[in-house]
Amino acid sequence: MQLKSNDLKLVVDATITNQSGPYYVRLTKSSADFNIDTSVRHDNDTTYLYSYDRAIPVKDAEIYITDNSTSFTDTLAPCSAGKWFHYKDSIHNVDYSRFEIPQKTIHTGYYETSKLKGVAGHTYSMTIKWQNKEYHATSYMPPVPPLDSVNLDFTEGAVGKPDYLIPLIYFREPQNERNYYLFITQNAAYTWPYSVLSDEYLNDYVNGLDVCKGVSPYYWRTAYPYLAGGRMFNDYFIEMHSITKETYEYYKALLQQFKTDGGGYSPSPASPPTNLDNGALGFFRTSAVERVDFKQDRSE
Amino acid sequence: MFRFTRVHFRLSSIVDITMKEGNYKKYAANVGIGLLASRLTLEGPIAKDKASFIISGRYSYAGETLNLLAGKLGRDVLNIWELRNFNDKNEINFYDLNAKINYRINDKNHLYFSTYTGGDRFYSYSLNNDNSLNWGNTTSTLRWNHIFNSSLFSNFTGYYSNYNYSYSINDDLKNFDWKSNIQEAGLKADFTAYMNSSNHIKFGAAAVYHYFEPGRIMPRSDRSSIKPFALSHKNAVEVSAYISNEQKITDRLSVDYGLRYAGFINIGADTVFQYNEEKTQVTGFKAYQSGEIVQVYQSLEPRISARYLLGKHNSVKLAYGRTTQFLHLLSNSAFGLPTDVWMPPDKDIRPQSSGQFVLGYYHSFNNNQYEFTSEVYYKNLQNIIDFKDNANLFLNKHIVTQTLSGDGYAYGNEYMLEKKTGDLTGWIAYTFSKTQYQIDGVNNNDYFSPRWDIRHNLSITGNYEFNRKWSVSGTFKFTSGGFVTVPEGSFVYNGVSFSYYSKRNGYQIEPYHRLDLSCTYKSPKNDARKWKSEWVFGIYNVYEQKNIYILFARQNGDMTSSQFTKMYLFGIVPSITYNLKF
Repeated sequence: MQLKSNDLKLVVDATITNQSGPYYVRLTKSSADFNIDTSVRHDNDTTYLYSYDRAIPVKDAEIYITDNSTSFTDTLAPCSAGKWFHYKDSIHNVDYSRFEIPQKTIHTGYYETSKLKGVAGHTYSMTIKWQNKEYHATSYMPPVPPLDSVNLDFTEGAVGKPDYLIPLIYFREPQNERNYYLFITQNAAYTWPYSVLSDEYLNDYVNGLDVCKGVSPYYWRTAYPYLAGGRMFNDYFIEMHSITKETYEYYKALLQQFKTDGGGYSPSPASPPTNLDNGALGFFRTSAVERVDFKQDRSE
Repeated sequence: MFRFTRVHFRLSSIVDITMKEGNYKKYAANVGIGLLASRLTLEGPIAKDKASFIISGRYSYAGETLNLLAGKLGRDVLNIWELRNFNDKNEINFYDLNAKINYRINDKNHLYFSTYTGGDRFYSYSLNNDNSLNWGNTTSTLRWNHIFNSSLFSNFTGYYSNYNYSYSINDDLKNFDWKSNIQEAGLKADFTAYMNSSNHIKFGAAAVYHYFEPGRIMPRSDRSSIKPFALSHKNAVEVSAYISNEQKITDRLSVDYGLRYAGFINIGADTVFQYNEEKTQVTGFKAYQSGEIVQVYQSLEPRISARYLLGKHNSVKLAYGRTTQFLHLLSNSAFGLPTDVWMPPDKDIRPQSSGQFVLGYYHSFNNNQYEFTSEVYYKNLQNIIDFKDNANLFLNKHIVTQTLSGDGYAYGNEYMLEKKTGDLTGWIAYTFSKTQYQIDGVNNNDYFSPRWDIRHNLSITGNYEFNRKWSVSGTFKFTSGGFVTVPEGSFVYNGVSFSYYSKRNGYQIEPYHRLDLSCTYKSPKNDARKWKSEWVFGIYNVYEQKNIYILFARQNGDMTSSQFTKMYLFGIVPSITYNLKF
């Protein structure tokens, strides 16, 4: 099915956290194709072969991010090599920073910051200049409450399916303010391990909340870690991000698109409500993070 | 079709179901057993010629049938590849039970009591595996029919109804129940006076009390992290009075005209919020005490209809009417599921109203064997409601911040040719219609089609009786596709492909058409015995048209691009029903 091909739009995937930098912004173009043959390439760019999705990268843009509290502005540089990811386990106080292989990053539209430092409580502004147009977004980074603990709850799998673990989180929920959370866990095949939560109907102590089974086009798939021979099969992490109301609503609209009913049980589908102007798609997210890692048991 | 009824007004489709009375003389039963549902009716006298009852019930087990056919048979026994991941945990059931008691006190007084209770349960693994829906409603009516004298008749009615909707979120630890409830209790008096041979006056008055519980949630287990929460309930009283006269002016011309007054009063306790001009922010609120009047809406509904007999077999009709509907249906689904919530009007969400003109021509010929009707109508609509993009309705006490309102119009013409007697009976009906809405904030404020704007609707039904034993019947339906919102394109965010949209209901889906055939066999022994039986062999969707039930875009399996999915529900379905009457 081919719909009317309109002007392709700029897609912005930008994230600043309070983990150590650099932070990354990815720029791509939207697509008007549906149900595309996976063997067809979109672009003459040979590096396309290395990308793990089929988004067309935008490589000729200028990106500036300003910390409004300090007025420091960082100019982002296109990044063509692999990149460092800095993770800190907040409960065990261990750094899991690592350099990731370039396969996912070479020329696929990534830009990185140089000196910018994400701080909870600060507000960040982003400006993108591309093809004589300017795009802007501003976002506040709400502080995140500390995680008390995360338990992995043993659950027996269905007949013929492996046993798995349900991650349960425990934390004190600040009740005098409206908070929104984004949970991200270790990815699993064919799942998008994201979920969001509003504290509107939450008790003051969140006593073992199953945050993220992930979403998937295949309803039976989950992002829960599973067991093989009584052991956790992969490393596993769980991140709790504090997010703004706008971010919550954006992710909620994205998650809604995984629901398989085609809008049958919900109002007319609509574009996710972005914080970017000038018709750009995507989102500028600023979030503070609490993270816990679980290592695969490799002992004999 | 345009018609006036004196039942509670809704702007479109008025369903007025009158249940038949039970047999005063003897007991009778009627049983039907089918693949998807079965039914049973019993009727008979309580006191001969004085009182009678009729009770009938239906039970549908569509979910079990689906699980058995697609799961056990298709997936497990026949190993059909498309069904390899079919989940046989579907629950699609409904039941209903009707009962009516008639009591003839004397020639001038009759009492009728009827009650209905029904319920549904819907859980479809492939459509929506996180939620299960339940709904049920109960209504009871007591009517006293009193004849004052040969020219004045009356009915006094009291009724009560209770609608419950609920659903459960099955997601393990967030699991909770959502419930909503609407209750109505009403009293009404209706009179018919035959003044003389050319004037029949009807008049009456009614008062209804409405109670709304818009929604509450409860945790389903101790481990749930959800705390209980309820939206505050609302109370309202609706009063109405009407008078109309059916007047025969000449032998050829008769006129039916009337006026109805209706008032809707919101009553406290209630908290009424104030909003900014754009209705996006709460700027304040006012609290009303219990019993205090919060808001009053009133309407006058004139109507007039004139019929002129052109000859012995043909006539023309011209009609105009205005109606106001106080309650809004907040439908957050395309299928009109019972999770849709009826809401009273308030300061910001005004009642809907409409005016309608109809011109009709009726003709019967060949000794009334054939009847031809044709009508042209035009309707305007005020204060229709639609949702903003990404509206959040869940337990939202500021619904007005999620809605938009506007106007609309509809027009069309309907033709129907019916053959009423003979071995071959049936009809051909065709309707052309067009409905357009204009709502500021949707589609650049341009006119657009609501989802159910069905342009062409053709239906052909025929029944042929070969002899006393065998008969065949067939039905063909054709309707234009409805309008849906489809994406303009896709984009990648956080590694996954998502859709973006521009125009609401901008895409018309393919037409729907279907042919059903059935064949009925009546036992020749039926004539000689007390009980009668028949077999009905049917084929639904004979040429297996894959009619679109839902069209939507979502991610491919690997989530890196998007694809359209067209879902259809039933292919060809054979059926056998056995009906028994005694």
